[in-house]
Amino acid sequence: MSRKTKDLLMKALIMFSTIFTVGVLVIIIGYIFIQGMGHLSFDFIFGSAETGGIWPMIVSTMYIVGISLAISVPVGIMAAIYLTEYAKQTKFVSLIRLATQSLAGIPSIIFGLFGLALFVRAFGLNVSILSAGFTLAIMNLPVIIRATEEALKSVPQSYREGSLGLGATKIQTIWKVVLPSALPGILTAVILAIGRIVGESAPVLLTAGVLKDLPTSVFDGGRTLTVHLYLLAQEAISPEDFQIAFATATVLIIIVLVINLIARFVSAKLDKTKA
Amino acid sequence: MQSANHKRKNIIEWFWKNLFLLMATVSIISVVTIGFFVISNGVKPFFGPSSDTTIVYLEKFKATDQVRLDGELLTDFKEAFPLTDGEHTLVYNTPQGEETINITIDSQNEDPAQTAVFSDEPESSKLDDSVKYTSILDIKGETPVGNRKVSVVVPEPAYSVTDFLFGSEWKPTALKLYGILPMILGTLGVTIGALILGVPIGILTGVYIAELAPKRVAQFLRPAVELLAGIPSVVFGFFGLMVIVPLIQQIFGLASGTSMLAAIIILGVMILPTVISMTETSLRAVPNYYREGSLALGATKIQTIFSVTIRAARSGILTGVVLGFGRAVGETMAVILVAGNSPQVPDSILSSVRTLTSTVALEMSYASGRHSEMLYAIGIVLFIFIVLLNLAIMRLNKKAGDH
Repeated sequence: MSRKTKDLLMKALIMFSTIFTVGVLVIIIGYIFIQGMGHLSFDFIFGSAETGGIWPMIVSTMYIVGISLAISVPVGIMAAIYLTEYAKQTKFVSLIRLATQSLAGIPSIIFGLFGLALFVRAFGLNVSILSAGFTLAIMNLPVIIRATEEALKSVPQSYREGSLGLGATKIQTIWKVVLPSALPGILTAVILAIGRIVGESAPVLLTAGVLKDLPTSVFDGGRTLTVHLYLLAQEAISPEDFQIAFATATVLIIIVLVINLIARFVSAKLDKTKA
Repeated sequence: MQSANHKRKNIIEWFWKNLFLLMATVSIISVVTIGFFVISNGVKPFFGPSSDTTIVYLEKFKATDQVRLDGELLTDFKEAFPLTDGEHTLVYNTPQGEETINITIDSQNEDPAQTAVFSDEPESSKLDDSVKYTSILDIKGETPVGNRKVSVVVPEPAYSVTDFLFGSEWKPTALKLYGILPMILGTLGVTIGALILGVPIGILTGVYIAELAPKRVAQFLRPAVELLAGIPSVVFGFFGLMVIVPLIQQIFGLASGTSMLAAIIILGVMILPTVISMTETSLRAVPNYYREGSLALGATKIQTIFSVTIRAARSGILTGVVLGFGRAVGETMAVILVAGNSPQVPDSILSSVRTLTSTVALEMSYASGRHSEMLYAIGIVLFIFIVLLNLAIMRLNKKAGDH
């Protein structure tokens, strides 16, 4: 085979792969949108489960996102500040870093098992939104810590030196100089974390359960959008069920789209401030 | 005045520093507890019997029934009564009359069917020995809620680790067999299949974005890949169930299209973003003079990419592959929806298959006792899988550092 044909062949393979990747994305989103868009309505989004609506699932999902962010964001950011700004770079600190990094690769179902053992059973919180929120908080902690560390490290050392040189204390420097410059990076990580929590299903199934009712408090069980779609996909018989499933999938994709757009917007701002 | 201000500042410094330290400690503790809880639950079945003593449960007995166990009058039928090895007599008095049941317990017997034997029972009753380590006696007689039942549950002996890892039968409720070999093979089969499908496509797409695509096209492709990574796994599973599964069913003329192949296709697509973005980043990190040198020696652009640039970025690309492996091993819900989930060693790519993670998600809601502990043990196996993968990534990164 001549050089030219070989090159052409490889180029064709590369183009095929790229088109395949983009094609898959377009087909999945397009197929679900086409099947689901028709069923999207005010009644569907704000209706109760009995009328085929998904409002209880949206509320449960929002509760779980809220609880897990309320815990993992402050704890994660503060832990990251300690690790980058205060801790001496000892073996112990690098061990912590290794532990948090490898935790990011652990299958989510293991977090579900852990949440079930600790929050649901040992703490007696039962299958509830609170248990799921705590479980996902711990699952997100390593991600937030890592992203915040990256953002803090990208703040130039000269900023800190300038602030300290002007007589500011260390904590003043952190609050007024370091954190504001690192904010867009941290914010992007938090927004992407929302996407991950919304999309998570296995640990939520184990810790928040499948109850279809609108949760009245965080101690109630609740069904998230992903779990709802999972159960519909498994149990659907009538065409009506499939329509609800497609519409739920459409809502999920729209949420992910919006979150990705916001994250891109925020990180674009980050680039601007850097330039 | 100056010193008071100074003191206050010091206190503020001290407060924040220690708050940060506290939060770091909280994070570490939560990480350690995860390991602790999963492991402490999961190792129990291998170190001792499933309970301390044999237990007898009385079901559907009524408050008016008089029951004596070894001569002692029982009052609360919701309780479980412990029994020692040897002979026991259960005498009950119901509106139908008085009956005596003799039970012989030999919890150390090798044969689980002989561990609890009803040696003497009423004629109208029915014995159910279908569940290992458990004997259930169904007593006929009129009650509105169903027959009275006497269940004797003998502790299961410690389970051997080899039987767990290499046993080919998973029958946790009836036969108390907990072999996870079918699930290990299922997980490996599905994951390797997904890698064979996803890795070449992912690497080539990454090559296109990093090396060949015009700037504008690359700016469009990058967010597209991010979006693919963000789609919830359930949505992938649902799409697979609606599109891929019926397609497989039609093409191969099967009774059901839920199969290993369907899981492979879905997982292959799901690992694409991981492989693509790692390939792209590591190709970008290759210094430009590598490419220039190769081009100056007369190699074409494609030749340069495949014999110089990809080689230089090898360890980063491999890290992406290993991360993709991890994602495929850990994926749960998408696989449950398309794989069929029967716990047998798969004999072809079209047969139904069940993975380790699916087993946990499918059975955790109703599992109790040893069955539930075994699901935690599966968690440990997954844990070990991921630790091994992380070690592999660390080695790869070290190698990259040596260059």
